Parts: sequence; structure tokens; C-alpha cells
Amino acid sequence: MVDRLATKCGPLELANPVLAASGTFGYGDSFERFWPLETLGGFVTKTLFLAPRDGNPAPRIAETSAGMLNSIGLANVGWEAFVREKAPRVNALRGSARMLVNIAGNSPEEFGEIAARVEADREAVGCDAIEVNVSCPNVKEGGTNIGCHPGQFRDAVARVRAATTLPMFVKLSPNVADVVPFARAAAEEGAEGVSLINTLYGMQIDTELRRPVLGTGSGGLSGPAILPVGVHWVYKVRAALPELPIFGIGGISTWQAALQYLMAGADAVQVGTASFVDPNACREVLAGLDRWCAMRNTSIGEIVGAAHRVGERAEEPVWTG
Amino acid sequence: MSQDAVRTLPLVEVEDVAAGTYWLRFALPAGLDCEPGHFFMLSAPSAGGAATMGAPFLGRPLSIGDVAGGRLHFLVRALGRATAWFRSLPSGTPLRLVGPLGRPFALPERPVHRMVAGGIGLAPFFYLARRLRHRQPAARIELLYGERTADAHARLAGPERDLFDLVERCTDDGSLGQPGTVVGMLDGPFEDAGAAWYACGPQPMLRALAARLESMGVEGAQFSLEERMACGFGVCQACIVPRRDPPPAYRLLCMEGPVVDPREVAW
Repeated sequence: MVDRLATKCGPLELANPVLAASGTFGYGDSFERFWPLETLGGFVTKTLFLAPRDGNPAPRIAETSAGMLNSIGLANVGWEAFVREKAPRVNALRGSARMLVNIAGNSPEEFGEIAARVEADREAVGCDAIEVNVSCPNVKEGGTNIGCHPGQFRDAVARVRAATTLPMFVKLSPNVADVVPFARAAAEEGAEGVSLINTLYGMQIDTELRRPVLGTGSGGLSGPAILPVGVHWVYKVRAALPELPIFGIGGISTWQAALQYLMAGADAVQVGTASFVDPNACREVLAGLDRWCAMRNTSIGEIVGAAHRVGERAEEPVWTG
Repeated sequence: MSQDAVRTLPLVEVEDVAAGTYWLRFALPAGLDCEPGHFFMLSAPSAGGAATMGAPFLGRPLSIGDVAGGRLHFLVRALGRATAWFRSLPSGTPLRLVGPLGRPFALPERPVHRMVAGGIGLAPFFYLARRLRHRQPAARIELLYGERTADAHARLAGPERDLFDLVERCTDDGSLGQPGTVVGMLDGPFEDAGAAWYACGPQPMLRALAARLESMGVEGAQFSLEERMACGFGVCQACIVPRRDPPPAYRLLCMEGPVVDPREVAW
């Protein structure tokens, strides 16, 4: 019998297509109190730098009409503390759930440096893949976003590739005119796949105080508001690069949203901001996909990319009223 | 915390107790084990909130107001989108409650327990007083409670009033009780450092109180702080409080609070 939930994203065999997204799941041990980690197809750690980072001043979040802005500033414990204090415990809990470590640096060189450390510690950490977060500000380039700068982007990805043989997924920024060339560049530099999308730039003004709400001014928009943006880019990247594995991310708070991503061409999905509001979000998205597949007598493998295959489209219901 | 930390509970009642301030009451879930100072995240139960008309997207952290009469009570002030929305809900509306969360108040053995409340900072002290009353029946429990104006002062029903041996009120404009702030009330009969001190209120009040208690030589005061948070259990990293002794520069209020020692905060 075929397991209807089992799937693959590039070289990663997944027990199911639901992962927890970076920055919304801690280092893997934060949801232990709610449900077992082994429930998931996998999870992505909070972005790790070589050195610990405090992150940005408060306020760091602002609610929007269908989501939130954040300016956390990639606060993290640093690679060493992760290896020493977090990884052993998480490995004991995760069962078949895949662990992706999300890494970043303030320059392409720093991306290479942390990737080399991940490679050196890969046995101790027990990670299955790397996700490269290119959405952080490039300190060398005056704070512009590495993921929005074609040359810096390619350089950072190439340096990670040179440093490790772990499967590499590059998490792409939607804050560009066209995401497809970045996905293509990632593939050309040796990425096994891409994760899309990261947050969109946004700002909220406090009209009483006449200033931005967030301590940093602007932040990243996430939540249901960005669902159609993510589905759009997954569809476009899948159409342009049909062989490139994709993690679909952005605004998934229901199983229906996950299904949209899968049909648009994502091989698996990552649930992010929804887990803040409902700690059970990942589990409920997974349960909904399972019910839907059972009801339609289909599997995740069969529905991935379905929206691209015209011959598979369902007939319009016939109006018999 | 057990795996039933996420519950959907029907709202039993909303009861106004002052201009914009109200009790939000739920039936007490069986087996719920919570301490004074714990908080819950309250949100619309549909995934993402999108299917509930007018519901805010994110949950809101509310400290436990009281646990009594088979109910779980939250004292809330309508100050923004979510707190206004909660107040508008009819009885029976289901809400998602995640919790109990955070680090609660410690309950030291002392002859006097003194709670200093500014505005809606009154919220956690009913349950705190109830627990102290139960554990230390001979102790004296005092509430110093300040608001800007008389109409903002919460009415305390008999059983709530009786939790305290003393309730001293003040207003910024002098329209009720003593004129001035709660910190100003400390001049005179409330200067003994031997009491257990607890406080909750707006940042300027807590900053002033922290300085005052430090000058009085008070040790082990417990302040319940507030900060924006999306999750309440350590993953969103929004609820930072600057530390007096960095590094690290910040602590997360949801995990290392909301009850903190004021001497550990860079006010």
C-alpha cells in the first residue's frame, strides 16, 4: 500500500509534506509541550549565525489586518550553543522528522564560514539539510538584502555549496521584481532546491505617535495576507524550472492553503506564523491533508504540481438547479 | 505543561466594572493547574483568525485575573483592536486559550503582602490575593491601586474586595481617593521594606516604583511586566525586556517572565 502522505523534496525523504518554518519553531524543542516533534515531516531551525545575536530593539512585532510584521533581527544563540545545548536534545525527540538548519551571515564570506562549521559538526548535529537564509541585511553593502542582489546572492550560495555536501535549499526573498532568476541562480550554483517565500517588506505607522510602530521602522510581513504571493511564486518557479524541488512557504494556516501550494508545484510546505497563534497549526494542516487525500483516494505525490497539468483539471460542476 | 495546553472554551460572560474595563469569564476547565501570575494567549479559534468576522489575527497575552466559583476570570481593558473585540463577544463565543504560560509569582512567607497596581495592572492581584489568603491566613494583604480618573477605577464586588485587608485608591486628578500616583502613596505608612512587594502597571509607573523600592532597600520585589508577543511560549522572540546585566542584551518575557525581579531590568 502506498503511504498517501509520504513524499520527497529533492533528496529528502519525508514522512509527510508538512514542515515547521524557520523563525517560528525555535530550534525544534519549543513545541514539545503541545505535540511530539516526530509528528512532522520536518522542521527548520531558527536562523543561526556563527556568533550569537541579540536582535533588534522593541517593538519587534505589529499586527496587520491578516498577518503580522516582524523585525526580530535574526536573534539567535549562535552556532556553538546550538550544537552544544539544543541539537542533542532535539535529535532525541525528532524520530523521522527531518532537521534542516537555517544559516545566515552578514556577508557572502560569512555564509561560507558558517556552512563550513555545519559541515564540520554535521555528525554531532545530525541535520539532514541546510536552508540558506539570504534575506538578512548585508552589512558590507550598507544593509541591502543579500537575497535581492544578484551578485551577492550567487556568491553566498556558491560559498555554502563549496563548504558542504549537505543538501542545500535556498530560501528566496519575494522582495524582487522576479523570483525566477534567483531560483535559477540557486540551481546553477548547486542548490538541491529552493524555499519560497520569505517575508515581504512592510511598515505600519502609529498615527497617534506619528512614527513607525516597529523599533526598526520596517519589518517583514507574514501570515495569511501573503498566501497568494507565495502561491504565485511557487507556481512561476515550478513552471520555469520543473525539476527544481520546492518548499512552499507563506501564509499557510489551513490545510486548504497547503493544498494550494502543493498544487502550484511545491513538493512540501512549511507552516510558519500560524504556529504563533495556534500551536497546533502544523498538526492540523497535516490532519486536513490526510483527510482530503483519503477522501479523494489520492496521495501527496499525485497532487504536487496538479495545477500545471491541464489534463488533470476537474470538470466544472454541472448546474442542475 | 501538559499536551492539553491549547483549549477552545466558550465565553461565559463579559461584565463591565469600569469605563472600558471588564471581566471576561470562562468555565474553569477540569484539571487546569495554574498559579497567580501565569498568563494565557487568547485568540479566535479558527486557524489564522480569518474565518471569524472582526477577529484580530494574533492572540493576546492576558494574565489570570482570578480562579474562583468554577470560573477562569480575566480582567481586561479595551485599549486596542483585540481587547475591544473580546468585549463585543456574546456569551457562548468560543475562544482559543493557550496556557497557562510564563513564570508565575513566588509566594514568600511574609507578615504583609503589598500589591501596587496601576490601571489595568490590577488584573493579576485577585488570584494572587486568593492564593496568599489560602496559604497564609494570618498575613495582611494590601492593595494600592491607582487610576488616572475616578471613572476608570474598577468596582470591586464584595467577595473581590474581601480578598484584601486594605484597599487604598488614588487618582492622578484627585477625583477619587488620594490625589497623585500609586508610587506617591508610598510616602508614609507603606515604607516598610519587610513586606513582600508585588507590582503591575504601565512602564513609567514600574520604573519609578523600581527606583523607589531600591532606595528603600526592598529585596525580592516581583513585577509583572507586559510586552507585545505573538506566541507566548518562546518562539516569536518579540517580547524582549532589556537586562541590567548584559550579555545577552534581552530576556524573553514569555519564558523568563512575566513576573521578574525589577533589579534585573534595565529600566
